[in-house]
Amino acid sequence: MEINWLNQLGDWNPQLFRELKGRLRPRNVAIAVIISLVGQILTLICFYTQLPLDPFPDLEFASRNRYFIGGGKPFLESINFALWWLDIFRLFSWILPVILLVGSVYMLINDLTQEEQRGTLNFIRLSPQSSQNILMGKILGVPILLYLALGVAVPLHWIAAIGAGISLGIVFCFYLLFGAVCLLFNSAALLYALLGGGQPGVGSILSLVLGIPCIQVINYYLYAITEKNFDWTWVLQNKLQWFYLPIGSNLAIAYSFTMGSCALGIYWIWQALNRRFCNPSSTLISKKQSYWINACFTGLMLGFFLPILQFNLGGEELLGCLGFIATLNLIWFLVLIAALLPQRQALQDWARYQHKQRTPNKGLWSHSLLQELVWGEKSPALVAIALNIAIAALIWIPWILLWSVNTYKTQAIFGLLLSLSLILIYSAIAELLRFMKTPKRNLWAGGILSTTMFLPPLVSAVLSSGDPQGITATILLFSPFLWIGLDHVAGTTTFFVLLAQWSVFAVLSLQLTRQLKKAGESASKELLSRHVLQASRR
Amino acid sequence: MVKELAIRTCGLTKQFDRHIALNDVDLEIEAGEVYGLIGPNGAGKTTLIRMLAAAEEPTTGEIYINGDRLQRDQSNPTLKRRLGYLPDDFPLYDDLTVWDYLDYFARLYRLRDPRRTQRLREVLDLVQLSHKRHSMIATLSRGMKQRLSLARTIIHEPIVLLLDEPVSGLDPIARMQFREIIKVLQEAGMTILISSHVLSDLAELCTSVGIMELGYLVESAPLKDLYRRLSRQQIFLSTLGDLGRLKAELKNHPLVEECEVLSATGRVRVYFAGGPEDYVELLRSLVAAGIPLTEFHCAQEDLETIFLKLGHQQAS
Repeated sequence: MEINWLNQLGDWNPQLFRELKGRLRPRNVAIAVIISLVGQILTLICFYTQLPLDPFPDLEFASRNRYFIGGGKPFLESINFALWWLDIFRLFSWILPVILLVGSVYMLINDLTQEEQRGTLNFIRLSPQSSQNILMGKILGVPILLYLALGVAVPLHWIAAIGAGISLGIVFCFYLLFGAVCLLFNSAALLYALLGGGQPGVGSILSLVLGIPCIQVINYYLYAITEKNFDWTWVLQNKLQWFYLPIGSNLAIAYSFTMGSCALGIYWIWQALNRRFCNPSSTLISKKQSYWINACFTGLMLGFFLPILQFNLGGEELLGCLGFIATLNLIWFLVLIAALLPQRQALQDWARYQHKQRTPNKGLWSHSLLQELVWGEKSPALVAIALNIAIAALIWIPWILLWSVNTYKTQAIFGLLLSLSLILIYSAIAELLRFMKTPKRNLWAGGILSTTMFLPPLVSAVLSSGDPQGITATILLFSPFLWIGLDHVAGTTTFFVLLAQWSVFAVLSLQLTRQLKKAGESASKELLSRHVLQASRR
Repeated sequence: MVKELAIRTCGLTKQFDRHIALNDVDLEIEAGEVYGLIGPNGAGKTTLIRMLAAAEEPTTGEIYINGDRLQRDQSNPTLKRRLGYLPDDFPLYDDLTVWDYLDYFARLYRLRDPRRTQRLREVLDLVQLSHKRHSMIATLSRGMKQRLSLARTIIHEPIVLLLDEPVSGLDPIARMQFREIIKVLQEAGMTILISSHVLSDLAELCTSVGIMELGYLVESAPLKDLYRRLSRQQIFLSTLGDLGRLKAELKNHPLVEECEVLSATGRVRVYFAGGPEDYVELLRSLVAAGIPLTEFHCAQEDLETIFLKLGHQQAS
């Protein structure tokens, strides 16, 4: 029966079967179980020592104990066991997800990196199994000993929940949410490994830094449910809403929203995983996917900022809000640019051979080229990024027009346009630098982009001693910190800065076009021109 | 009758930076052939094989396996099951036993029991590793690991087998075992593309040969054609008597083109223009002339000589 079950599992997911076979050796299983049990026993001993167990306690001393509920009662009744169990439950609700997250992320990155380095991953790629099947097998199978160790601790978590009077249904709901967060991080870990991250330690630290806020949010929900005297008023004061849904004050909506966000994140990471697993030289996402993912992200952000308009905020507050949006937008676009930029080789191939692949019966050459730039796999990403910026502008400009304060609208629109055209410049710089011959081009791109972003505010700060006026404020308009300078410059200056930015972008685009044309020249043409040059010198 | 093409490429090109590794290659291999790919290091053999296995994406050009277009995405699981690819390095999983390793790949290729177990036994028998089925892979010798990799490559009964330098680094016995396995696979009807520097192995195994140089496929022909076009008939003779008399008799014969004494062995090599009946006639005339012959051996120029004659440099 057991063999039949294993056999069926192996047929359903050979990768999971292989991971289980390689890892579930009796010695390893025994070690995992023993470590888990020892950890649980130590925790229980630690909590046990906290109990006021003196049958004849010194009342003054005992009253300082968290679990002592008044004297005069019989010994056992004087101890608040429900609270004791609740504390154990809360501790486990923290520790188990953190261990699960950090441990599984480390193991997955380590395993996939090793497979890639050894070359075994290529054989799996060439098999007829889908990438989902293989990678899901990895997620379920690689950390199996960790799952086992944590699984052994789950009964104690349940016992603690029952002891604290928490319904197991609620516990399962939160397991589901923990599971979703874990799947999100594990998927991201696989993507990190497929991108050649190769440092499981770095990945784990990243997962810890990003994962703790997520676990905190979930634990906060748990706290809201388990704390009898939970005060909702401060949450209500927060007035956190998403498309007018009160996610800050309604636990069911907050839970659904978190679950939905995780699902959305998982969906898009798996889109990238599927592409990257099948073809390691492809971009993370296709141009078509970028339009959708960008609309999704901007829509998600709009959901938070649309309800703000009902609070009758002042112009400066709204402008500050827009500055925050623009900063988030910039970070988002930097990620999007990294995901969309084709590798140097792909760009070269496109420049050299795209004329062969272009369908001649389209009639208009430019029409076909435009299609290639908007949808093509290997074409430069600049047009696609410009379209994505247009999508962002189409969503945020109407939001600005909805402001109740009219005086700041023009300034806000100019600010938004400035920040968006800056993104366009950054993407052109990144594309140009990715086309460099040096193998460390990504490092160069990162360094030069950072300099372009942070040098203007630095110069401005030095020149103005912290109070930007006139020219120092204008310098700020060439950086993501433009919102600080926007108040201190005239409208015409802003307009001219916008024109200057567009001119810079035009020059960068021309340079990129020139480089692409050069890369697209055939070797024989290059050879002939060299001969002609040599002949003319003679 | 025109045979079906197992592999066909059209204008296959691969460029790495400004270097063209493969240039406009049109390759055609008929079903059931053993096709040998030879050429110096860096000629583009591995790149070509990797692209045929869908392990590498061509810059331009198309690949057809049994008439179906091969593309590097998830759209062709059926086509992937037709291909078996053995790269020149053969990475394995040291934490699995021989049986578990093959069982894993059989499952990846969607083989179901009882056929899977049966196929595992067949393949282990073929590569002579049945006695090692429960051994950990880490404990196998290099030759055994190579054979296990071949077993992994054929576990799903592919119809096209792509072998990149499969005998490099193997001792003569392991090479011989490997050759025998390839012959069995050919008899089973597989189309095999094999790249190797060991031309004697290829001469024994292949039905056709392709020569690559600087990314171009400069020659692609059945081995018989190549021999007919480029190989001269040779006769090796030894005598107990006077070598000078033997040479004089040979030079008198109208079909003898060239005659030389091999100083190392004392044998005489003759380039001969005639057919089998003419061999008989030559032997008869030499015996009639009273020359005490101890050897009269007919041979063809080998593949390596033909290759060098074509003006290519090949490290054997």
